[in-house]
Amino acid sequence: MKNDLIVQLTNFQKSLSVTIALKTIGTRILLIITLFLAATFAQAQEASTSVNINLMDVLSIDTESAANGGTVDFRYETVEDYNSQKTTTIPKSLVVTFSKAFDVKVKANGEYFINGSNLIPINVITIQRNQSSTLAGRSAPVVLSTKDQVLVGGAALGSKLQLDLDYIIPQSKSSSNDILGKPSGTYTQTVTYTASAL
Amino acid sequence: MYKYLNFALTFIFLQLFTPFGFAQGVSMSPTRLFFTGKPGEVVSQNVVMHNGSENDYIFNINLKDWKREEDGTKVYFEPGILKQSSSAWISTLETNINLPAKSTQEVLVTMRIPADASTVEISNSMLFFTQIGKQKDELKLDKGIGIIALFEFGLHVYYTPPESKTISLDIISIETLPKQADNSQAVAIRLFNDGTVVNDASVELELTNTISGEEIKLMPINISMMPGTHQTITHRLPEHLKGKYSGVVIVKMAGSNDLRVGEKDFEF
Repeated sequence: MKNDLIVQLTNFQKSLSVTIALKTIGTRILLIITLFLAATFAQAQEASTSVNINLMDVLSIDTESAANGGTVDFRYETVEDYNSQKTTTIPKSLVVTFSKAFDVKVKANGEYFINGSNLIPINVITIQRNQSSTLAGRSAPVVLSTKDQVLVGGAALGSKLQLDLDYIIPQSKSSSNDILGKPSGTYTQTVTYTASAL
Repeated sequence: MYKYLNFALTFIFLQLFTPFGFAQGVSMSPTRLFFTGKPGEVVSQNVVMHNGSENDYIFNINLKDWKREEDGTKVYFEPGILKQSSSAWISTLETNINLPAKSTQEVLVTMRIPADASTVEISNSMLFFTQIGKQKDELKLDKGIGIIALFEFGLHVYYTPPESKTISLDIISIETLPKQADNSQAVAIRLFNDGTVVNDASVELELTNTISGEEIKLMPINISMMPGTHQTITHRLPEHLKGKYSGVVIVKMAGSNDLRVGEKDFEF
């Protein structure tokens, strides 16, 4: 039995080698095309595995943002302080990643900067987007109030978009009774930045 | 071949998600919730809050009504004031959530659709996750004026009646605006959402100089409109634009292959 199989296999191998030796160029091309199609079909079979990527929209605020318990300070110690505009620029006030177009609003949590019973109205502060920001959109200076106001509107989606902010106390406010003549001390208020989809 | 495909897809996946899902910050997903259901039903969805940072956070959850002004600005109101408010229908299990460092939490948002809810009109509200300041968020200032800055996420919540499915916008007008004091020019495009669902769209403006053939494509402006509302989109034009131009407005609506196209000739 084993010997019969060996003989048959040898004959088959011989006939195969003869057949291949007699192939014409056209047949070889046909063979190559067949192999190519077979390979392509095999690849197509492999690639037919479906891969689903479900993209959920997401909003992220980086902890390097200053609007994360960070503070903005204005000191009034000299006559010049009261007779000039003061600007404090806070880089990375907000670092946002958003997968959709969005806007950023700002509001104060109270009507006044408070130092015990002494008060300074919050509208002494104007906030504006600094040109160095990578977070772009419609923007105009905002006089701080307890109302939600648009700081940047229609911002395009993006990753780690940086909003650098200028906090300004104009000279007209510094030298007014709103600030001038107030008892010395620390006046504080909390400001909240809101990011939401369009 | 499959290995290459697999590698490429993994690479694309990482590129897409690394900046979003695994950022060193606090994230919320999704940013809009769309509920649908019949009047009288109770429906719920999860919002995922993730804190990838080393800090612990506490957020207060609160609701407000809102509507959009014609220039696209959202205006907030106390809950329950507006006619289309769904604030009274929305609830969460907690009013505050603790989000410790390197943690993820799901917040279940439930909507109880009233039995008498409109079967044609959309309702909406905004759910806020407001950071609560901690003891350490104090000023180092001994004298002066100090601001403590915190952040807040706004989550849109919509109720769409089951029968409302029409996506459509209409271009009402295309007008040049009067020149501003700084000589800047703009084109205003007024749209009306004549569909029955919230419509996300991008509004493009292309200008072609009728003599030189020069083409100017302005950056598309993304909008989102409630049904039955108007919105005016302002495309600011490049400086020193002069001459006769043929303008084409193209409005592409998300979830639809339909386009809205408007044409107008301008002389700047």
